Amino acid sequence: MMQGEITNISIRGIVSAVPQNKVDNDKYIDLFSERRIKKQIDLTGIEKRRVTKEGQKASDLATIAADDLLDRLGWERNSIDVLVFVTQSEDLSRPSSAFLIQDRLKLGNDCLVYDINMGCSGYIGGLTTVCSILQQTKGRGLLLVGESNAQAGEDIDRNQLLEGDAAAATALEYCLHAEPMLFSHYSDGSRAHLLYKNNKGMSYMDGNGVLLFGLDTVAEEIMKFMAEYNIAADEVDNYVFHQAQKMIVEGIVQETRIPADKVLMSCKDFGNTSSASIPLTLCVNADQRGKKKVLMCGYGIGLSCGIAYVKLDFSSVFPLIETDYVYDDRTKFGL
Amino acid sequence: MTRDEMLEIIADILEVEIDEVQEDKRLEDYDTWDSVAVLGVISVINEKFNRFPHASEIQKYVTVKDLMDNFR
Repeated sequence: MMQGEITNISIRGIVSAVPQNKVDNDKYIDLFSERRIKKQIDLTGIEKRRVTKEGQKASDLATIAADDLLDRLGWERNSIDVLVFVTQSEDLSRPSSAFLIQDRLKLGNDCLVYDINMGCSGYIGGLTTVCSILQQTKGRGLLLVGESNAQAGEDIDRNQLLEGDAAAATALEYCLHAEPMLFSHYSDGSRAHLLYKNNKGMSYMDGNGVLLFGLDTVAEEIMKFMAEYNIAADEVDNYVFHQAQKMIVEGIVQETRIPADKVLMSCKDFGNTSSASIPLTLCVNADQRGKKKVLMCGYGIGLSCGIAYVKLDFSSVFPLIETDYVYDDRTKFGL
Repeated sequence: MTRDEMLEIIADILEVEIDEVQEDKRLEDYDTWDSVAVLGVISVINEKFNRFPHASEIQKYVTVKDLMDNFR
């Protein structure tokens, strides 16, 4: 197991943002064979999704979330050492969308910014990356995650009924008294062909392959992680798993024998929002109180799986933002 | 669960008539044997028998008979 312990880094705040545009999956019942689509909605538990409007991108949602978070924390814009944006919905082939976001947020120039091309496991990948950098600089960082690949047109395929758009911003800071953060990662490039989008725009998902990965490898990784760090199932206050769809989460819960009532969910109303699903699920459940021990697990494209065990103060998990705002900087890039 | 009940459930999962459900037929020969169908099988086992099939069990669903053998 690739694992580690991050010391002296604290999660100061989490804000998530979704598009205002709500899509009800029921509307596709007439479009496809009715019985089949009803079955899919029932089994996957994904009833509604948010989908970006024309021209709106993941970077717009992520910037709105980050802007709100910086204001709430009262952080000086030039105090940020590192901005990482985990996305597969980039604005340009190059440079990274992180540079557009840096400018929109008016961050200082003494800052490392870049995108990470990761999907559903990307929140944990991003946390590991930003925290590791902050351990060196002993400063402040922003981890942004988000996607805007969801479709709402009449020509969508059934797999796309699972996908929703969302973004989130997480503020991290060096702090000598922070509780240690534990993490582990698993990657299997030999199964990359089970879930991909190629350069010709073709998307493919082997639904069963991904389902089995969740029920088998992901469940096993969680059990190995908990055994390695001696974490008892009932000492964890909340479990937050990537919201691929209801049945995969339920399968992982059953396989790992963790208490189902401690598992937070969001896929019913927001679908599978890739790297944003873990912070989104936290923000949707922002009415929780106090400091909680939270075990997070992101899994999917790669195929890959990332797990983190953190102590999180829910007073720093803020309510969801709904926005249709689009930044007007694309014309600078010939768009 | 009786054999007839099993055939009825499998016909519903595969969205075919009951007489099209043949024990020795390979599941991949049904156009409707996809991830939604697999979720349907898991759901039936979960609801009727209160257990969640392990991934290694799901991987061994090759014929209609394999499904029937696991409906317990």
